[in-house]
Amino acid sequence: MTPGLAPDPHAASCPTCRDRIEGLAAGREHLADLAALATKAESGPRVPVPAALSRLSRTLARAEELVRAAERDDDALPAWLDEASARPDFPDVALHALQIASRLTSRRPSVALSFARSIRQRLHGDVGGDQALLAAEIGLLESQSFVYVGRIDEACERALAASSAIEAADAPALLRARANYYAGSALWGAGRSEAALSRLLAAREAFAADGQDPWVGRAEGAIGLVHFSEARFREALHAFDAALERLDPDVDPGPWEAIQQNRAGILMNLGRLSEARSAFGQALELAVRHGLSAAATTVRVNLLNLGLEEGTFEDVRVRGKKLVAFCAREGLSVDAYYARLALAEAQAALGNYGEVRALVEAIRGDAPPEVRDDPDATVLLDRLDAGDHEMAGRLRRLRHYLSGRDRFEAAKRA
Amino acid sequence: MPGETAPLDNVAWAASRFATPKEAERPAGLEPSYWDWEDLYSRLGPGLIVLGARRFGLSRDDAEEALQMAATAIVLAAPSVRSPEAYLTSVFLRECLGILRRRSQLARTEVAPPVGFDAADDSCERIEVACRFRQAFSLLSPVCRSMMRSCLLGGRSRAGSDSSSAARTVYKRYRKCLRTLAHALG
Repeated sequence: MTPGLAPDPHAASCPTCRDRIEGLAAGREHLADLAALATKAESGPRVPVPAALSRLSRTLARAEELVRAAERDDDALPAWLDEASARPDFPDVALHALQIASRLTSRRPSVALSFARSIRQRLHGDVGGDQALLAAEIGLLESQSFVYVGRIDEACERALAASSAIEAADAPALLRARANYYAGSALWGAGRSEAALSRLLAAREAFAADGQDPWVGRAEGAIGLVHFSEARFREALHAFDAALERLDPDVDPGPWEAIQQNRAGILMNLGRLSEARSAFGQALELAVRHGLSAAATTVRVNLLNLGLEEGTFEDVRVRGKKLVAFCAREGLSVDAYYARLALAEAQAALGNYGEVRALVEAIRGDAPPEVRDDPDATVLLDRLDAGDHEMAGRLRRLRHYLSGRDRFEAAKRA
Repeated sequence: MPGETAPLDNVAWAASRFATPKEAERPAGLEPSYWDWEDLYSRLGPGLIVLGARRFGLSRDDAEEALQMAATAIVLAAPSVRSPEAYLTSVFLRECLGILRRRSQLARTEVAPPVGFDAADDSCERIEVACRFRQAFSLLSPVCRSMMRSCLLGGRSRAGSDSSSAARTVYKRYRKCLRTLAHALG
């Protein structure tokens, strides 16, 4: 079939094909099938619901209660866990609680870690059968928490062990895919991009096989980040676009905002400035609407950089001054650093060299570790010891280096 | 970029680095909403059993067994499921496939059937195709899926003769979708 000759004569005339294409396109093929059977009154007699499924809502509710207690640092949590662990359904409740508790890892990784350990301490007997899956899920939650507290080697070790154990336990494909996704995340953090990509691609395929669009979206976002960090910008952009099309910003505001901001960064470096502005604007609007205050500040810093690319130096000067003061007041030292860098470049372009000297002193003195520990960045910082008229160019050079522009240029040349 | 490490869920590009949001921010989302799985199973189960029998040639007992195995998967993975109806159907189809494969494996190890015995049908192949198509379409984004639908069913003017940039964009995307589908379908 080609679009030039469509509608395809067969598809147009065959109601079955038409229905199936409609169903697949709407992502509701499974329902379309069943609806077709229902119209033929062939849906068959009622089926008995397995007992475990009947108990499921109660098990989920109890798991949720435990996670909420951990979330609010409830003093009663150890007693509740003791009581829960004495009951025969503890393995089921714990398995669900561990999956639910992954929501704690980004906000309160230490709480998630301690929750995982509390459950580990209450496991009884051997760890065969379902207990093996439970132990693996504990490892997976610990791994996610380690990633957020920067213990990346431990995160990799736990995630890989958990993934193998989940595989060996013959767990449902969705849990195996989830383990691959988190292992990919940890591996990327450790700079093992190829291994990370392979895990994430496998996870994406498996999520798709289960029809889990939001998970496919998260995997796409992660894949985009791996490509981004390996300077494969076109692939990164495609993956970010695919992620944004699947994620609902109101359901997943954190990932959506982060992906949109990463996408805007690529567009800016590609020189597609109006698209970058629009993307930063959408990220900022969402961050403000959902109270993601730190993310909103980072977007504002990036908007200063965009202003420099557009040559609106006076505007950058005015906004930059306010932003530096705000970041300093709120203790956002890394954002303050990059805001100062942008402000210094704007001041240099406007010829306000007195201001530039004061800002450069702070830029050289307060460099965050990722700048201080990078020998190339240190060379560029040292070169800021220059005459007034050279400052704007040297500051721009430093900003381009730090923003990854050099890698864009190298990739373009290649 | 200088090597700060951070998790993928919330990693944002920030002037020079990948940065993690601060603790005050909301969690990554995807918190599970709790569906009434019992109701879903009762509602879709009978239809799925008929589907397994009519389209893929399973006996009612086998189809019921596949449905029960799908229920077991739900019990283990429920908090991680985001699209419950799609999940139940996907797992059910996979279990049907597993049953059919085990059966055909068993048949291969048994003595040759007598002359005139019905040859094994192509149920496994058909169910594999169904699973692959579902997966392939899931790998397309919602926008691509909708565009494929309009290209295949609604009709479009020939991209070569239509000079508008919108038509060219659609055609380019259509080709990309076909590549994605072809790759996913092997």
